[in-house]
Amino acid sequence: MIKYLTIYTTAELICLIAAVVCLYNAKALHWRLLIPFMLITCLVEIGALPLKAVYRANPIPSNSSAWMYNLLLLLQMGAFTVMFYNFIGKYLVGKFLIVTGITILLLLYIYEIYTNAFGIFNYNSRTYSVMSVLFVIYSLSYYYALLKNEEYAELKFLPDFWWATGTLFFFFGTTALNMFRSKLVIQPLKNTLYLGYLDTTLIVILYGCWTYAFICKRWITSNKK
Amino acid sequence: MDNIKQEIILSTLIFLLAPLAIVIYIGIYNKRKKRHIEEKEHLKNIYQQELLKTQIEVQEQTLSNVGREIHDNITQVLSFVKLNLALANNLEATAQQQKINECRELVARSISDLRHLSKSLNFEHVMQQGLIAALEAETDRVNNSGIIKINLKVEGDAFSLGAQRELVLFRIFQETLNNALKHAAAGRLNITLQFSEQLFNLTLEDDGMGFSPDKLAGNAGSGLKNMENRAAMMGAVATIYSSPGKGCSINVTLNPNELQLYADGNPPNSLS
Repeated sequence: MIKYLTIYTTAELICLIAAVVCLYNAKALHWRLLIPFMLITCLVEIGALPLKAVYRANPIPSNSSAWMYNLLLLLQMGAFTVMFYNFIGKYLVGKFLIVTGITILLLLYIYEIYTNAFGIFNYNSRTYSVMSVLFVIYSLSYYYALLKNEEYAELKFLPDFWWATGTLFFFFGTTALNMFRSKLVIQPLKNTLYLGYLDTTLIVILYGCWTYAFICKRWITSNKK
Repeated sequence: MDNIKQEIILSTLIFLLAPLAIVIYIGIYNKRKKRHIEEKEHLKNIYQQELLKTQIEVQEQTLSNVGREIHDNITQVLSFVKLNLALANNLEATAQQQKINECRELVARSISDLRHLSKSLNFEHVMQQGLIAALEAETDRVNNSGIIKINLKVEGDAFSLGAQRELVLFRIFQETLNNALKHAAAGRLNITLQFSEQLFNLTLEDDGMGFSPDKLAGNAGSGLKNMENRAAMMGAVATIYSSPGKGCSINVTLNPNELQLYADGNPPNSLS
């Protein structure tokens, strides 16, 4: 059991627990949807660990865990889009931006599945890269809308803000890492460790911010009662 | 190899620092926004308080005018009527009839005066009719009393300046009239209202003894300072000109296109 507890999975599990505790009675549906999203993310992350071991022993495409991450990618596209749609929609009419974004992602996703050498057994990395850039744009759009809004919001306790901040940090960093990933993976294993450290840092920032956002959400919900 | 490693670490750090800088900027901007909203709220409260104060002052002044009018005019006339009627007992029938007719006329005048006064008391009704109507009513009342001669002149096509601004302008008129009577011993007060698309101008000129402009700086000029402050509060500029022996002129100008500028707490140079 302990072998499944990496920093990745631990951060995700903590975030899942926070989501269940804090969001189970949230009034807004998009917040409650994060519970199944986090649950599936954890299951994929934990479920992929034995598959990765199998792949290392016998690196053929059909042993790869990429198909699981490809399915998760679809879920990420949907969940993040729904969240940003609600966050930006509070202040601006962001329908056009969001609908255009999700259409591009879906088309790219389908295109990659068909053009990948091993179909679903190759990870859709280009879709992921475009998605990262898109979510950075969404986060910045949300910040812009927040600043333009005439009403004052206490950022320290604003769940939307912390959720978007975690997302911004993660995808901004991921975009940088993606640019060098191809260079680094061909280097000796020792050097790829740096990549792992940076990945872990981003994951901890993402789930740290999200966990705090969920706590804020719970705090606000409790206050409203 | 080390170069690539350093490049990667440096770039990633930059990519982590960039969103951090954005978040810090948002935090700072948000704090400024909070301060701005608080200041706006504060201004709004001050404006509302001043407006309420102005309203109360206008009502007090009106009541005081009415009280004085009853005491100085109506009570005197009715006392005279009472005296006339008492004297009439000892007169012949023709003289008696003459006295009664005289008394009837005086009572009719008092009734008319009371009717005018009752209209003044219904201050809100007067203000609802607009600044010009309120000034006309007040001018009639004062001119009838004969204590001072007021000339009211309206130039251009009159339009509403908004209830709150008109209230403040009316209060400025009342204060000026008070000063002209109490301190300047003026015999004439000219009121000019000029309406144009870009500018509204109210000029109040008396022919009283005037005062030195230094007086404005001292406590004696607190009423005049109050006028300037109130005018500024509603986005207008009040300028006071006076010199000893040459009367006093108060000029209030405002841009009618910036109506209700302060009503929501926004000063003219407000960010939002």
